[in-house]
This record gives sequence, structure tokens and C-alpha cells, in this order.
Amino acid sequence: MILGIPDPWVLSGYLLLIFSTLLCVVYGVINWNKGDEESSSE
Amino acid sequence: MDYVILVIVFLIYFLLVGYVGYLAWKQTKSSEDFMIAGRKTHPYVMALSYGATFISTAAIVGFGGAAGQFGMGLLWLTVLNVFCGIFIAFIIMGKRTRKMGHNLGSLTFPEFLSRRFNSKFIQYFSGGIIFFGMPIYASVVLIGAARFMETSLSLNFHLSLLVLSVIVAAYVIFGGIKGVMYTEAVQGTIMLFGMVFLLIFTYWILGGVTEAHTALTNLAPHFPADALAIGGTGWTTFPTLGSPFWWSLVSTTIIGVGIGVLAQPQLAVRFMTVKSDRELNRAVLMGGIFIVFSTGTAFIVGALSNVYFFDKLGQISVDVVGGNIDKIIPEFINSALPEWFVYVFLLTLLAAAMSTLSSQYHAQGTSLGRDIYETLKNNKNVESITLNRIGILIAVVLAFALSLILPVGVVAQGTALFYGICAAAFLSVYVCALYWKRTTKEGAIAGIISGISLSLFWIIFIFGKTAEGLGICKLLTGQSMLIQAAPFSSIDVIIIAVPISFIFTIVVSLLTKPMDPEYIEKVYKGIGSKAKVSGK
Repeated sequence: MILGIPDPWVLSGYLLLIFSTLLCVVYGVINWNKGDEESSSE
Repeated sequence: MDYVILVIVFLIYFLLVGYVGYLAWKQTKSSEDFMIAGRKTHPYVMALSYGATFISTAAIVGFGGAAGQFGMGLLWLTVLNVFCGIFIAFIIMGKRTRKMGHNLGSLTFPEFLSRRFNSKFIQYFSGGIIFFGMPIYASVVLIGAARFMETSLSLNFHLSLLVLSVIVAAYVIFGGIKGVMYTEAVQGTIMLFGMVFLLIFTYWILGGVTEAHTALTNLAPHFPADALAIGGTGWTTFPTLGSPFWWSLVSTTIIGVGIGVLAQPQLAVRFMTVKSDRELNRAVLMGGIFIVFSTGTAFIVGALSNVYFFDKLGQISVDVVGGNIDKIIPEFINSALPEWFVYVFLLTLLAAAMSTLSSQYHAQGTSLGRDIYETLKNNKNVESITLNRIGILIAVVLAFALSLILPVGVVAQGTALFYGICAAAFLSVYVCALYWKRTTKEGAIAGIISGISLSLFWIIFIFGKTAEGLGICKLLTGQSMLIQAAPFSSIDVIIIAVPISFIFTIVVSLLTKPMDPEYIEKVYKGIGSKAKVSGK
């Protein structure tokens, strides 16, 4: 039993929760300074 | 709890919100300022404002309580909230919405769709859906907040309604979207702090993450009988596949609310308030953290409250609160957390309600002023702040009046109702607007009308909870819903109406003449493969 959760559906929900948040964090960090093309052209 | 301290805390909070609203008012000079914050919002403000609008008190107390009764399967909703509601919404939908909205010079979500398809009908019809559909959702949030002020401050319910309406109306009417977003950033920050502390403290008093979950798993023999009867299996296990509980959890809660968020006008308009993709990239990080801690904490703590109550009182949460699951989270906080946190948490709940409410008022007001009145009157591009302010005032009065008369059955379904209608009406057209150049004006209109018609039919006649809550089906046919057989009465409107609306949008588009290529070129300028070319 991982993390005290016996059911694979609930456990995967718990882990995906952490994973999707990390995805947001990593995406934000990697692209922190990207996508600023307009401020220079405007 | 000391009421004097609580009143002081609330007063400080109201003063802070008032001050931020005042700053917003000083910076609001044009229609663009009033509706999309001059396209210059800071990513932190944008992300927290988006999150605080998205998460209302009901999401924390209502769904948290539901997790107390039904268990951690609800965490899948948070997964979708973060993955769809933030990651997909910001990156896949948000970036194109921002760019296209800028190309088209649109200031509201209906205006965005209308200009994309060159159709005034889309603007006032979509504005109408928002203006007439949202008051139920807004009054549900208002009622929740007023009930909560009634219990925490011992204020009269009607007085609470009035106080809240006046305060929120003041900063939305004067400050416009800046008033909404700045105050939401403050409210979101309070919410974030409150929820992070709540999560950490709960795990800490229960001996750690694995220990707390294991204790909850071991409580399974005490899982409530009524939850077992509809297919529940335990707090840390998923319900039986195909059972009424499974359908309700997967279709309404996880898919309905999780996907429905993508087509919420009051959220989509936020993408147009930032200057460039860089702000959205940064906001993804902040928004993801905000959502995981707000909804995730509520579900985890709601479920784990069983361990605490069973340990202290020998009862599971539902029994401790006498069956009223809305009281699980407040009861847990009162019993388990330090007293100072009770004040913080009450503030968190008030902030969550006010932040959702302010966005609703703003979306409704601009729908009436900009999308309906100005479009029908044909006087675009005038400085229309006054008109929108009048629209907002009407929205506030409408929500206030509805709060006094709405029956309980409707209140319980108000949020799901509006999410369902919006997703059904807008999701297919919104996605096609952003990604399929071949979509035509006629296709878009067909998508919106088929989605709204089917969703209303489904909500009134088929979907059990709403059909029973509204009572229209019973009035017309004598039966509370048209099809009694499972699983139809448990299938959320979004599962049915969104695919149908997609089919209508696509088929009608393919059958009608493509839009003018030059116009499409202008709409998509700088989007997709051409982004780099135009950037030079």
C-alpha cells in the first residue's frame, strides 16, 4: 500500500494531483521569460 | 471564539478590499481599462484572480464536506481543476484567446466570439445567456456568503445579503475589472495562506501523510451506509464502476466541473487582461499552486476529518454534524485547529465567496451593457463605462432579489446548472474559434443554439438533481424526470450537450461557405506557425 491508499484509482488521483501541479510549476519556471515578443514590437 | 476580534478582523479586511478597490478606480479611465484592465495585468494578479473566481466557498465547504462523506475519489476533480482548469486553459486556450482577442480588439468573451465569426447575433445572444443564466449562480454564491456571515457574525441574514451586495457592488462598479482582479489577488492570497496552513496542520496532527491515509483506510468498516447503498466503497477507495455514485462522481463532478471550467466567460476574459504570453507562462505556475492547495486541501482535509473525529469522539464526520455535510469542514476547524486559525479561515471563506461574486457581477454587467445594449443599439466604440456600470448595478440588484426568493432545490444546483449551460453553449464554438479556421458563422451559431437548447432540455427534464430541484418537469408532465432508468438521470448535461454541440458546429460549418480568407488571416495574425514571422 503506497501512501496509505489501497485503491489504484484514488492513489493515481493523489499522485496525478502532485504531478499536474509540478507540471504547472516546471512549465512556469522553464518559460518564465519566454513569450514576451509583443512588448518590444508595441 | 471572540466576536470582537472577529469583527475587527473583518473590518480590517473590508478596509483593505475597499482601499484596493479605490486604487483600481483611480486607474480606470477607458472601456479597455474597465473590461480587460488595459491588457496590462501582472501575472500574479491574473493567476490569483482566475483561481479565486474559480474557487468559491461552495468548492471549499460544500465539496470538502462531500469528501468527508464520500471520500478521496473527489481528488480527481482537483486533478482536472489543475490540469484542465489551469494547464490546458492557460496554455492551449489562453494564449490564443489573448492574441486573437487583441487582433480583434474585443473586450468581453461574447465580443470575442462575435468578432471571430463576424456576427452580431453571437454577441447579444451569448451576452443574453450570461446575463440571464448567471444570476442564479451569483445568488447561490451570495446566499452562501450571507448564510456564513449570519452564523459567524450573528448578523441577520437579510442584512448580511445587503452588506455583501453593497460592498462588492461598490468596488466592481467603480473599479471595473481592475477592482475585481486587484481585490481578488488580495482575497486569493488570504485563501492560499489559509488552505496551505490547513493542509499541513491536518497532516501534522494526524501523524503524517501515510499515517493519516492508513488510519482513514482502516476506518472503512464505518463508511456511511447511505454512501455504501449508492456504490461507495470507502474513503480511500473509488466507488463501484457504473453505480449511481460512480456516475455522479465521474460525470457531474469530475468531468462536468473539471471540463466545464474551460468555457466560463468570466474566466476566459481574464486571458485578455495580460500583455503577452510571458505573463500567462508565469501565471500557470502560480495558478497551479493556488488551485491544488485550495480544492485539494478541502478534499483531503474533508476526508481526513473522519480520522480526527473518530479518534476524539468515536464518530465519523457525517454523524458528528448530524448529516449536514456543509458543516464538516467548519466543525473540523473549530475542533481541531488553533483558535487564531478560526478567524483566518472565516476570512478565507468570505474572501472565496466575494471573489467569485465580484467576477459574476462584472461579467453580467458587461454582458448587458456592452454585449446586449450596445450591440443592439449599434453604437460601438463609444466610451461605455457608464453603461456597463448600470449593467453591473442591475446584476447586483437581480442577484439580491433572487437570493430572497430562490427555492432551496435550485440553490443546491445553481453552480452546476450554470457550468453546464456555459459549457454546452460555448465550449465547442470556443475551441473551434481558436483552432479551426474553417469554422463558419453559421456553424458557430448552430453550435451555440444546439448546445443551449439541449442543455436546457436535459437540465429541466432528464438530469435527476436539476429536474427535481427546478420542478418544471413535474409541473408539465407529472413526473419528476422524463427517464427514470439509470444511468440517464445521473449523467451530467456536459457529457451529452458538448459532443452534440461540437457535431452541429462542425457539420454546419462544412455545409456552409468558408469565411473570407482575408478576414481569417487578420483574426489569426501572429498565431500558430506565423507567430515568428509576425514577431520580426
